[in-house]
Amino acid sequence: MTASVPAQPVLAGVALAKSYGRTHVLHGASLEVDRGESVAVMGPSGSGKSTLLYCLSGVVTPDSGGVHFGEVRVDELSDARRAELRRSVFGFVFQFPGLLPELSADENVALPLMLAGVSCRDAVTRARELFPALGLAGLERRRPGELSGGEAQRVGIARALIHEPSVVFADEPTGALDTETGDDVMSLLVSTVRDRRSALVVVTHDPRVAERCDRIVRVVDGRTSSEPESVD
Amino acid sequence: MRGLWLHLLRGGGRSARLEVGLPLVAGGVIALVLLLLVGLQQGLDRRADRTAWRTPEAATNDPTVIQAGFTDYIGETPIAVVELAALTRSPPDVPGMGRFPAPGEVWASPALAELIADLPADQLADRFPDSIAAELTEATLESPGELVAVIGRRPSDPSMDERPSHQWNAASSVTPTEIDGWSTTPDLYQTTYRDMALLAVVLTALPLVGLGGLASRLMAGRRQRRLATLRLLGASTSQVVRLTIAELATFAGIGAVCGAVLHRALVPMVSRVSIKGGSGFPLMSGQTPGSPSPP
Repeated sequence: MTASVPAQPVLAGVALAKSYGRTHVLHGASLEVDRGESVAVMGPSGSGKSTLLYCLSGVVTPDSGGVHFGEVRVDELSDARRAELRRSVFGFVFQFPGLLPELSADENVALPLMLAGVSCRDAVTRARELFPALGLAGLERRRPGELSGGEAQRVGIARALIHEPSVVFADEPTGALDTETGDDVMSLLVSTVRDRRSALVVVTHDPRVAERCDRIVRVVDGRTSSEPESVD
Repeated sequence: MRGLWLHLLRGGGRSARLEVGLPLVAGGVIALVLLLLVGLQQGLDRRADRTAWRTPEAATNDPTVIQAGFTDYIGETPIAVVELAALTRSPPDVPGMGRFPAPGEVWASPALAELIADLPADQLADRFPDSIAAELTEATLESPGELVAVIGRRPSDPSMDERPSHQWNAASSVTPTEIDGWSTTPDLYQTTYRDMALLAVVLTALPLVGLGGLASRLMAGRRQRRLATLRLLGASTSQVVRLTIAELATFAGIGAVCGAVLHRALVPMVSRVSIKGGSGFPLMSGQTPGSPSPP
C-alpha cells in the first residue's frame, strides 16, 4: 500500500548514538516521520530498534545527535518536560499492553488524561466514547484479567490515542497476539492513527505488520538504512 | 490526578490482593507487638512510680516522718507493711491516701481487707494494732490483688526504732528512716522489670523492622511494574512520588489501625498475665492517685 507523504516532518531523529556501558547500540541512526504517516522500523534482534524508538519518544536520552519535535529539541529537555511531552503529544503501544490490573478497562484508557490533571469522572467519560470505534463496546468495566489478548491490546491502543497525540510509538504491538488477532489490531492501529492525522512509528519483526505501514526503515547494527523504502 | 491513587489502591485480582494483604498483615502484627511491649513497659514504669514512695530516702532537711516497713506473709503470699510515724504536727499526706494515718490506724488494700474479713482473727487480723480504718486506692498498689497495709505509729513505738537483727530479714524489711518527703525513686526490683521490658522492646523492634522490609519488598514488584507504566505514559516524578507515598501511608495506616484495634481487644487478656506476683492491673492505661474508699 502507498500513502501520500505530507511535506512537513513532525518528528525527526538525526544521527542518534546511544551506548549502554561498553555496548554501542546506536551509531548515527536517523529517522523522520510526517504527520499522518506510518513508519515501520525493522531489523534483527539487538539491532537497536527499540532503543531508537525510546530515543525518539524521549524515554531515553541519546549520547549524541538530536531529536526534533517541530521546533522542540526533545533530547535537550529536562526529565519533567519530556514526561509532559509523553503525556500530552506522544502515545505508546507496547507488546504487552501494560494495563494496570487495579483499574477497569475504561479507567486504563483514561489514565493519560488523569495524569494530565483531568478529573477521573471526565477522563472516564471521554475514554468511554472511544470504545465503540475500537470494537470494545460493552467491555468498559472489565478488568484487564477479564479481557482476551486482542481486547487488551485494543484497550492499549485506546489508551495511546485518548489524548489525541501527534505521534504514536508502538513496540512490537502484535508480538503477543496470534496472526488473525494481530492483523485486526494492526489494521485498527494504522487506520485510527491515519484518521486522526497522527504519525505512527512501529518497531516490529513481522513483515505482515510492516507492510501495513507507509514506509519501512531498517536498522542494522545501530544504523538505519540510508534509503528508506516505501511499501508498494 | 486527584482520585487516581484511590483507584490504584483497589485490588487487582488474586495475586494483587495477596501482595496487598501480606503487607497489611505485617503492618498489623508490627503495630500489635510494639503496642503490647511498649504498653507493658509503660505499665511497669507507672507501677514503679506508684510504689516508689514505699522506699524511703533519708532526710536531707528537717525530718517530718519516720518510715519503716517489712514483708509479712499469709501462707506464701507476701504482705507489704508500711509503718509511718509523724515527727511534726502537720506531716505530709501519704500518696493515694489523702492524709496521714493517725497512730494505731490501719489502712489496707482491698484484697488484704477482704482477706482479713474472711480469715479468723488469730490468723491475720491480730497482726495489726486495730481494725481497718480505710482502704488504699489502686493508685498506690502494684496490682489490684496486692496485699498492702499502712500502719500509723508514734515515733516512740518499738517498731519505729532500730530493728533487732534477729527479727527482720534485711532483704525484705526497711530500716526505720527519718524522711522529709516521699521518695520518687523506684526500688531496684521495680526498675529491673521496667528496664527488662524496655530491652524487650528494643530487641523485638529489630526483627519487626525486618518484617516491615519484607512486606515492603512484596509490594515492590507490583509497584515497580505500575510505576514503569505510569512513567512511560508521562507521569511526572512528583506524581510518582505522591502515588508511592499515598500507597505506603494507606497500607501502613490500615495495618496500624487493625493492630491497634486488636491490641485494645487483647489488653484485658494480656493484663491477666502475672508479672512480679501481680496480675489484672490495666497495664495500658495510666493510674492516678485517688482518695481512699471506706471499708
